[in-house]
Amino acid sequence: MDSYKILIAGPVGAGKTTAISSVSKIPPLTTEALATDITREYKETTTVAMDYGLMTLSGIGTLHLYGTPGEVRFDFMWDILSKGGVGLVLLIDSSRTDPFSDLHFFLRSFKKFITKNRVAIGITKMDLCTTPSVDEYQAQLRNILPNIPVFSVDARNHIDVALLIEALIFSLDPKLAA
Amino acid sequence: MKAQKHNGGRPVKKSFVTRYVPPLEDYDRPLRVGLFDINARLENILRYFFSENCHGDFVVNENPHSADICLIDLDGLHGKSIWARHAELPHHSPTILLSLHETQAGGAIWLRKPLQAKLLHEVLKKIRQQLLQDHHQHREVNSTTLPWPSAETAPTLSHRQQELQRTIKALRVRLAREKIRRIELRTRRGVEQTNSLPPADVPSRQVSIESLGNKVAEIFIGTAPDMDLHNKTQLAQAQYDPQHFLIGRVLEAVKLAETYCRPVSISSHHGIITFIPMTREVLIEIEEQQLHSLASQPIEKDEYLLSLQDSVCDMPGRTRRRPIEAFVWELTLWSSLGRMPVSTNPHQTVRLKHWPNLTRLQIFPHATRITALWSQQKHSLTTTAQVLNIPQRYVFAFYSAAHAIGLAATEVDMDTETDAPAPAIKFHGKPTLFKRILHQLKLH
Ligand SMILES: Nc1nc2c(ncn2[C@@H]2O[C@H](COP(=O)(O)OP(=O)(O)OP(=O)(O)O)[C@@H](O)[C@H]2O)c(=O)[nH]1
Ligand SMILES: [Mg+2]
Repeated sequence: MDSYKILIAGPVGAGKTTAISSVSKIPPLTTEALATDITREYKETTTVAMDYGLMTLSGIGTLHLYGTPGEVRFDFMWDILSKGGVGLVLLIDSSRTDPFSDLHFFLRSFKKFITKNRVAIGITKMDLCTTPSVDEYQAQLRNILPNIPVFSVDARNHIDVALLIEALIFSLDPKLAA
Repeated sequence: MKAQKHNGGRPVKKSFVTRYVPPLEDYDRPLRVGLFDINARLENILRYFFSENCHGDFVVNENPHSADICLIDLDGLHGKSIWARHAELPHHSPTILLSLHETQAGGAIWLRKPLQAKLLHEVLKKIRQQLLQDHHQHREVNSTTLPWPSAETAPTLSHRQQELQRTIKALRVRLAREKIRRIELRTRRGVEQTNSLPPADVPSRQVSIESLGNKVAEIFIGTAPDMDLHNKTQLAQAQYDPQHFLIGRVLEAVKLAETYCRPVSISSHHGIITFIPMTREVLIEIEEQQLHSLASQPIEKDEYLLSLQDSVCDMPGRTRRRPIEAFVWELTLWSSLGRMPVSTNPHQTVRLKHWPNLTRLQIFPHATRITALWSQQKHSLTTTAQVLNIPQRYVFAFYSAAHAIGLAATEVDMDTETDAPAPAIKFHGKPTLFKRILHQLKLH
């Protein structure tokens, strides 16, 4: 059985810490601290260094999940955490002002990582804001990253998160035994 | 004695059950239903229906000949002869006959196909009641004929025996119920978790998507073995014609709604389904179980009527709302039962437009793996099953569902794809509106 390092990134409040808590089989390690004023519009605390959780996919192996901080002042952590990673789960919060620009910003920020590894995108909070639709995200990606998984995801729902991670893993190799 | 058409609340004719003297058994256990000449699809639905709708009060008996109740499909190949032989038995078990045509068969209940879940449940409940009554009468008669034990020991022994019997009976009932309940819960949990959210503070736990999907997969996908797809007969067995199922009408309705950007309803005596292209939603006024059963049965000509609507009426409590995509995906799974649409060439490369939004669709085993493969490499349906080393039925089911929501096609389909003619509709409404539609459809 293999083990894989998966990175989880995305803007502040997209649900990175929540997603890891939803699927981790151990109590996740978090580094929450008081958020900056801007972030506090969304929530009280924010991840300042990283989150860590562990998940097993039956027949495939162990997944080490690393959550990055969403606040840009901690972006130096993104590179540090990327080392040794095989895939990126990008969570985009559909209730933020301009989710498409968040999408492109994070794809640019992780460009080097994405060219070598796989990515799967989860659109969170679609229960709060149903637009843009998942199809519209697919349309945004058509010319830059075709054929990648884009799912609507509620970070609190472990099935949603696990399915997105599973899609990422099979994107690495569809023939991985179940 | 004539079979009686069971009609809503009308009582079931008593005579057919009173002829039957049940063995001295405990009828609080799930009653065993023997299926005769029932096809695999209907059998799967019935298994699901017994555990879901009937809460495990009935189970399919693996040996139909030792069942409490018989269910015979008269339209099946051997249905009529099975019934003829069965009817000759002096004490045959209560029997339900399924047929498309009204049937006058002595000592049985006829239910018209497509089977209506509610009616079947009512009939089954009445049979259970009747069997229980007969059982008690039979026991009373028997107990009077039993010789009394000796004067000294009799009262205490029979009292103890009765106590013991009661305890054993209660235990057996509890055990049987628990067993059924567990099966039921496992299935239901699997379904619910894919569609509804757990509370925000659910404890984190390990999930196996594959195992979750497995629980519902059999119902949707069946258990068909792999076929030799170069053999014409076997290929035909691995295909289904959407036009012969409700899904065919649904796809026509969706297309019509999108073409005219107006709601379109499918009406039948089962209820109404309305597609709203503006919100990409469907309003469903047919009970979920019944819909599954309707989706799995071939339809009759003119059974479902399509009509364009000016407005929609959402009746709280009676109408369920679902995204069109999720509805079409699921209905396709019910109809296809692990088969591919007719005229699909399983040896042609499949093209996938993009990943389906799998978190909002009915999941089943291997769906993510098939998508991942098709999004990276060129494969046909045949080679997909080989490369992934999975049963063909999962590949066919996935292809059928993805094809129905417009995300997958074989290269031949894409090359020959032309604008399909607008579906023919029947309209029952104001003549002016009718004319307008005919005009729009250029049918006048
Ligand atoms: N309504 C709704 N709430 C969600 C959804 N997904 C996540 N949330 C909530 O959104 C919040 C996300 O918070 P975090 O998980 O801390 O977000 P984060 O991405 O780790 O944020 P930073 O660490 O600050 O970058 C939590 O309160 C979640 O319960 C969703 O799909 N719908
Ligand atoms: Mg966080």
